[in-house]
Amino acid sequence: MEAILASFMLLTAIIMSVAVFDSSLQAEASNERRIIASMVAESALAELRDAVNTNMTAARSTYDGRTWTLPEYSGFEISCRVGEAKLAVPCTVLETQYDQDAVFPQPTGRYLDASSIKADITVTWAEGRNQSITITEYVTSFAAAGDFDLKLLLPDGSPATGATVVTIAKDDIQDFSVRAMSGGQEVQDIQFSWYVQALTGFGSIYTVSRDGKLCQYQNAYRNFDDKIKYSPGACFLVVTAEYQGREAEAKVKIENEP
Amino acid sequence: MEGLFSLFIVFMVLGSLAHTLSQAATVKKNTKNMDQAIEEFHALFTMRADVLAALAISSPSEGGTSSTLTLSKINPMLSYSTRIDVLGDPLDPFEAAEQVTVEYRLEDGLLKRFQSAPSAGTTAERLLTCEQMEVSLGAGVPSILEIRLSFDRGRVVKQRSLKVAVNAL
Repeated sequence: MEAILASFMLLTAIIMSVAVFDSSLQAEASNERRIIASMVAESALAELRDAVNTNMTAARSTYDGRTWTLPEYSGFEISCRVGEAKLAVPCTVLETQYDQDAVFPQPTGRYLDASSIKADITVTWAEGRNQSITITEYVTSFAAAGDFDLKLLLPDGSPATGATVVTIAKDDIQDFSVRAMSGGQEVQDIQFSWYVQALTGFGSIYTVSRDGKLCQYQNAYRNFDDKIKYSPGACFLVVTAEYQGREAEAKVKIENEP
Repeated sequence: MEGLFSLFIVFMVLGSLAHTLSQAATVKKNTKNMDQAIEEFHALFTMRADVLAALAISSPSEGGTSSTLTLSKINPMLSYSTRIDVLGDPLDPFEAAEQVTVEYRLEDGLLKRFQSAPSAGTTAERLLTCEQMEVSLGAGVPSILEIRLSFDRGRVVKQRSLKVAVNAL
């Protein structure tokens, strides 16, 4: 009786060790495939980065929901999901204090939500049941800018030209905005700065959105005694920005009515 | 009856032992494969890191294929403050004297990395045994550089490739 019991205990111990070896074997094989899968995922991300460097809008629509394989790794299927990336600038703690639905001139949080995409690359391979790894990355364009230009938009939305003169009545406030362009595409999520350059008169910057994209100009200014004053005549409303070390400026002439 | 039963148990134990030994041999073989896969992964990602840090890629040429990968990058041994040292050194942090040339090529069946610096000569690192190396670069900028390596693993030749998005040529 004791011998039978001992035999069964021995048998159980051996079966357990076999099971452990078997699991180890499967894990070893799986790890090798996981390493290859990570190389496949990295290659897929390189394709996506290249597409984003060329044209972010086109890359977003081409790669969202796309499924494909690489010729050298036909057993590994790649699928890509592209979503919105919303990165607070400078940090979430500071930016969440602003109402996200606020409308200018109310201050709103500053987020980099148009210059990068959140990409989830999933590589799936068959190994017993399907195995997969997923790599998530915020992808942005690193293409070198060959040119950089600003378009100052007038209150009616049309771009200002060198000959444009905007006449603003005393105390009146007008809305202006700006767009940055590079390589025929709009540059998103950069910071703009506005100022007034006096000629024969001047007004003042009334409000600027936190990203500097929108600006309100008033035909009036406050002196050091906090009194409203007027300086009728002409001035320039100037906006500047910097992108990849290139500086650009746009301006519009304003006639401040007395 | 007891004799038959003990024979059954003994054969079962011996069978399990044989299975365990064969599994152990397979694990050993797989560990070797795994080590090789890690080496291949390491070599490809070392090349990728150099490509991403490159200021210029001279081989392969734009739109071409080559058996070598040659690029120039900032000498990683120099700190930024050294590179813009105003005492006797130009302010340009990218001058030729502060760059190194890195070349990957096959030599005696080994993939080697050569790094040449103007002041320090050439150093060579052996990465791993490799049968064939092919690097192709797309036309224009931005583009994709693809590294393909072939490894002879006895009865099979393994192909490994990695793509890298590049912004500079």
